[in-house]
Amino acid sequence: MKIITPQDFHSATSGKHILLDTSIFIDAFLHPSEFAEFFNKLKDRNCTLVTIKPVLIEFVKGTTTDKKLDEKKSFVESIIESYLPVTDDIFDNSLDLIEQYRIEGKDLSLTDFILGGVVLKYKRSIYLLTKDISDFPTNIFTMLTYFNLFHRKAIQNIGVYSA
Amino acid sequence: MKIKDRLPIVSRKKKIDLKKFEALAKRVKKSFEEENKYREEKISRNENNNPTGFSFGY
Repeated sequence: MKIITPQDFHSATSGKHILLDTSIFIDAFLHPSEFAEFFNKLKDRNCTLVTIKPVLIEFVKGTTTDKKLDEKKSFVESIIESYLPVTDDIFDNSLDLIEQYRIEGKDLSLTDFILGGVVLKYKRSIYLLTKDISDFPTNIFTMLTYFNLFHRKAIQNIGVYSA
Repeated sequence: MKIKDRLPIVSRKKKIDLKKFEALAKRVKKSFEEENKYREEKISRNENNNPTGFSFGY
């Protein structure tokens, strides 16, 4: 697998806080060398990689032993600099999003609403990376850029969103 | 915006050590494979108990 970024990807994201969705951590353990290089390049460009505890919970749920739970947690924390606090105003933003999504929000996870709430709170200071592009429609969020996971027999898209 | 609401500023970003990261990723992947096996078995059990396949999604 290769990570293919548009020419202006790193200049577009430089110096930003990058909020990582669960889907990114999943791809990162499936393709560790490619993602380690990608994350380090972002860090070189002064990006601050962050996530929220609900993403961690989504990532670790169902883990069968304490040791494996610690490993998953360490994996997430080896990538990010910190967890952003999920404050009350973020939940208020999530409720606003429910009004905007209407029926399209029916299948969204609670984590997606909270991530959306974080994006609304920090506006252009934070960029959300997610593979679940159908969960973040462009009538509500702005897709600023994207990158591709170029597989032997498939191409997948990862969107970079802001409010 | 209150101080607690500001985005954290980290001047020195911690770099990912490729060797350690790959080893950890391998163990995490194994955990997910085991958990997925359980999930597939559960879905198959649920299908047997719910022949219409109708679900409220909860």
